[in-house]
Amino acid sequence: MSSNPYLPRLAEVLEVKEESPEVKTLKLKLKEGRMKFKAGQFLELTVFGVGEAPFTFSSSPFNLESFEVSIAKVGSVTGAAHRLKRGELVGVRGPFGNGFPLEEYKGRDLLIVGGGIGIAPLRSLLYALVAERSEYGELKLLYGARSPSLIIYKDEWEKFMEKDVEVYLTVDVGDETWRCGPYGPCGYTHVGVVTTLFDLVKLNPEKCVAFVCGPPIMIKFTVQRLLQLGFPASRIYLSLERMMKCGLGKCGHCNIEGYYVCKDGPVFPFEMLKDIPHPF
Amino acid sequence: MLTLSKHYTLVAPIVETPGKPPILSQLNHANFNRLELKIRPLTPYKFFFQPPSEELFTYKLAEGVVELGYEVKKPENLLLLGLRSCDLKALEKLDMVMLEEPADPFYKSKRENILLVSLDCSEPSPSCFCTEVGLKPYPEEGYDLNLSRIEGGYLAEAGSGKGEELLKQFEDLFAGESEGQLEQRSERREAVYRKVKEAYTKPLKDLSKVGEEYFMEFTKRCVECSGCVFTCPTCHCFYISDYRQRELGGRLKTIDSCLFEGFQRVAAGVNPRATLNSRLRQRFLKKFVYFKQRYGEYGCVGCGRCVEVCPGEIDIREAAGLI
Ligand SMILES: Cc1cc2nc3c(=O)[nH]c(=O)nc-3n(C[C@H](O)[C@H](O)[C@H](O)COP(=O)(O)OP(=O)(O)OC[C@H]3O[C@@H](n4cnc5c(N)ncnc54)[C@H](O)[C@@H]3O)c2cc1C
Ligand code: SF4
Ligand code: FES
Repeated sequence: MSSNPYLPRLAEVLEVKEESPEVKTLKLKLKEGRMKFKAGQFLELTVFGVGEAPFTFSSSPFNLESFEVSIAKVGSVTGAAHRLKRGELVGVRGPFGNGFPLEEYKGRDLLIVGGGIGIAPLRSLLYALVAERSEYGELKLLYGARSPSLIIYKDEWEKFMEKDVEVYLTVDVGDETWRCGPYGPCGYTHVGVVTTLFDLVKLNPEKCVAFVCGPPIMIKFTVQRLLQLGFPASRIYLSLERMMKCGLGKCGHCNIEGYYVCKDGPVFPFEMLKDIPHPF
Repeated sequence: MLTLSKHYTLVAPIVETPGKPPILSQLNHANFNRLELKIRPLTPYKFFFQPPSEELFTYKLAEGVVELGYEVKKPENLLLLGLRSCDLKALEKLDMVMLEEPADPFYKSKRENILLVSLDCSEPSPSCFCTEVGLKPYPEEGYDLNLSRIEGGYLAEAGSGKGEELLKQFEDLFAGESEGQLEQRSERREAVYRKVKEAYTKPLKDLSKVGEEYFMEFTKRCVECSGCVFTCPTCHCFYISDYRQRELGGRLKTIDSCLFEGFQRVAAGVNPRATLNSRLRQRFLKKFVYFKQRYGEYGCVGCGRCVEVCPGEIDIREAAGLI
């Protein structure tokens, strides 16, 4: 039999973790072989009987035993993924896409900006960075969600801070829990959209590289802010989403003008997109 | 041809409705007299390689196990007749997409096993503009066998090992050619080339340099039927969806169109190409700008099929600045 790139490999659900009322993290392990991926790459997850959808790896690329995806419930496949139980089998294809270009930026300061479920690939990125912490300069994370209960990976932020990552969290609308949360040096009482966190951090755009993932509107305003601060378009990286089907550069669904997000992305330097009418 | 059809499933351009352009059908005794080899068929040949619907794999769910299976079918003795230079070129362009690693095994098996018998164009359609996208109206490569109409019959030329075999197998059908016949072929080819070429005087417009509003006059007339996409021999986009009946299920690859409103709409209703203008622009740019950026050639072969089927009388040649 010739090989079939549409055929998923089987993986077992090792663990299901409820991160928030909207998001669950699935820990998966391939039945055969290992999943080798780079931070920023994605996979196609099949829930048998329902369908397939793309998700970025949210776990450390250095962990070859298992891998994780964090899934926000928005429709049929994501809904079915939320109903999965430990021990069940799913299908996975991938890894697909390019991932974050980390090799190019050793020694640099890194600014990571995430909004909503867009934090999933950035968590994988953070794990990749802290695993080689001494290779990088200052690491700063700005992360916002709509409300405190939607902030995910709650028990992990302090661990990142211990690894010398500056963590700043914010919510669009706060509540009483937000006041006592131990998340971030000053961000834990911060209320406002992600871009308001820029007022709290000192950045050196000369040395710094930005990685951004989140909903289109958040990406738009974050890019504007970064450009204003003096970040060159070539050092602003965006992880983008588009409708995807094949993941192979064949079905045409994920294109942005002449690019295929599944092959040329999902991570793009803003430089590549700046002349496009509506990139986000 | 009937002799061939005894050995092969032979698909050819057949006039189904008198006065209308031929469409592709299986050739048999009943429709043999309606075989039309002068005019290119309105149906593209791509569906024999990318069928409207095809199974990618099946699965069976049982307690704690999932059994996956798939079958790459090999078409047996299928011969497509009547492809033109543009049709062969279109398959080459589909190859660039579908055979790019990791190759689509379903497409690949069809490409490897279906025999292609092409023709020199003798009566180009008024909508043909192959010469303007760098093609000649006669095949130069990509065929198993090419037939060139000359006085009193056809000159046959093999373009592959399988074509050679075909020639040998049906030796008595194909007489050897003489010097004069080859000359006649060149003359005819040149005349048809000039006929198409001379219909156009303006160069292709660089669509990467025009604004979005440029496409509005076409968008106004588009009824979103996707007739252009489905008759286009190079449009390759597809959808993937699952079906399930109890413990059995599978995944299908089905025909799709970038002009459909939902083509890029994602969960929660976000739609990066919500306007018809943005979708039509994407399609035109894909043909003349993006495909070239990616694969080094235009994504359009100038066959003119879309011009003929569009109920809104949208003419891709006008959009591309040729007329
Ligand atoms: C590269 C990439 C990475 C992603 N990473 C994550 C992640 O880490 N976590 C997360 O929660 N979500 C992620 N998404 C979004 C996620 O794929 C969609 O939420 C999901 O496809 C919705 O599927 P559904 O069946 O639940 O929704 P429905 O609306 O029922 O969708 C039906 C089908 O449409 C397609 N589709 C719908 N929305 C999207 C979309 N936004 N992107 C791509 N295809 C879509 C899928 O093929 C899906 O099977 C990512 C999307 C992309 C393109
Ligand atoms: S054939 Fe014409 S009307 Fe139909 S989708 Fe294409 S351009 Fe629009
Ligand atoms: S998902 Fe099919 S081309 Fe990118």
